[in-house]
Amino acid sequence: LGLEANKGRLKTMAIRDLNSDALLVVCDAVLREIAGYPITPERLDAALPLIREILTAIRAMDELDVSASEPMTTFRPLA
Amino acid sequence: MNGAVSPSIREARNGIRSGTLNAVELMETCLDAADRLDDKLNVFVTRVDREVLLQQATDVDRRRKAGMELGPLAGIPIVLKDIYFTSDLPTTASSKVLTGYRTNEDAFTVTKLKRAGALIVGKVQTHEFAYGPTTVNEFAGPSRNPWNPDHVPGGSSGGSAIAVATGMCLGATGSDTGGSIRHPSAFCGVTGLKPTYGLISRRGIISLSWSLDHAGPITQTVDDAAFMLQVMAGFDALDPGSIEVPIPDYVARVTQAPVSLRVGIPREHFLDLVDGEVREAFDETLRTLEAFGWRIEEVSIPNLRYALGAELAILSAEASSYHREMMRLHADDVSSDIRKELDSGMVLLATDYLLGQRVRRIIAEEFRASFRKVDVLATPTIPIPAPRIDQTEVHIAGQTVSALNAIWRNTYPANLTGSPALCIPCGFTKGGLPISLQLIGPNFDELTLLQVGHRFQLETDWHRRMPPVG
Repeated sequence: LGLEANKGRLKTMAIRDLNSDALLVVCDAVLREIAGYPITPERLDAALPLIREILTAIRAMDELDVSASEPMTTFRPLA
Repeated sequence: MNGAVSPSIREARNGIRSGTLNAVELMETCLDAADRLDDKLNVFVTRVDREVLLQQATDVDRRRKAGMELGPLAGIPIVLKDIYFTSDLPTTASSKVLTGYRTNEDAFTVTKLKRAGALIVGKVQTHEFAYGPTTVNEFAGPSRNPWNPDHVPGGSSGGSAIAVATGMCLGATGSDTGGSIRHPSAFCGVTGLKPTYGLISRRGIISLSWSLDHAGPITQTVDDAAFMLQVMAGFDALDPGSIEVPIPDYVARVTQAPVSLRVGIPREHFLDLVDGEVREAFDETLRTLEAFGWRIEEVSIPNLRYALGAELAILSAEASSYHREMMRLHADDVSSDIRKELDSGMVLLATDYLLGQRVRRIIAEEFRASFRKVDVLATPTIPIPAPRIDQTEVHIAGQTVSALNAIWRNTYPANLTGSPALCIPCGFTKGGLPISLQLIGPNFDELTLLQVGHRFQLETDWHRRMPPVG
């Protein structure tokens, strides 16, 4: 795929912490394999509490029935 | 004017036009305040040379004497948040990454302010990339609250509010994605207006989150805000979010307070977690509004508890998308708190971003429904007084809460809904820190907010108090 992960240049969280924190491993894989945005373990470690906090707030929205609601986006012709 | 309250924009404008105040004298007063206090409070990123500004002010006086036409803000000293592009000054967003960055163009609003005759004193500090509510900046150092320099001034438009509060200028520009005009205005004891999304162009302003970003003024008084809004508002075909609507004559009509008014107090969220002194000031403010003959009534916005998730999903994803290339190249030069935020937004699912946008629509509809019952909503702008610079947690009603979460709790809902929101001083704590009232209105009804706020300021003097610093 040509992603950074395939070049073997950066350590991965997946190897270091495979059994310790599912979110850490998932974020590492998403950033590396899906987003094309690999970051160092130190950066991911630093961001993880915030990621957890954001996801908690986001998952709270699952209680709400949004089936009748389209995304709040507006389109109009550009000049 | 040293040591005294600065003139209002209306007073300064009338004085300059009639010759009772000259623009040079006004500029010197502002520059003297900046000389005295900038180092202490960390306000400016870039200041224009004194000689250049005094020459510009001299030109205003010369034009007046020659009977030439003057713009609506001729000779009025203003400052710009350092995310507004300027053709003649760097734009850094208070970040190491953009040190010395020049755009060679003015933001749409900067062009309008210059054409109106405003004189730009300089560019002022922001929380780095406008991504935070304190203006405590790892790279540029903390900016400080003029009422007590050990406390935060609020952010992200911290430099703008400090400059207004201390008389370094008569007006400032800010931007507001989750409350960044209102936080520093509230903590520094000045007036801040986040207009309706689409009323003021965002073109030429460094983005944080395209669909939540709003540009607006910070001023000493509501009347001053009307002057700034009059110039800044207007359709811009090159801003995809700009909306073409008639612009009322805010300046002429701000003094026309409504005879009858229904003031809504949201039952949910806004008053759930409020510091005791803030609550007391808010209740007293409601009594003042009632004394005007206005009716106070409760309204319900039931799904506000989901607003935080929506705000975070949208803000995080849009900010990380906007800054993705910058982070790829310069992440090491970004302050650690901002790097965490921008890294976090990269792991969110597209479906969660869209969930946020779907919830946003539901909450916007609930706001719209509430404005069928009331004319404005009133809340405390921020549930707490300004925390200390080193303070990470606050205690409210027996609960320990993150200071950052408490600061923006009452402001981000209006970013989701795009609603106009005005904040004005409404009291002080026993320790001398300002407390602020937030008024939220129906979309594009800034006029009513300004009229209500102006009426309140005719009756109170919270906005006339000057900070003790300096």
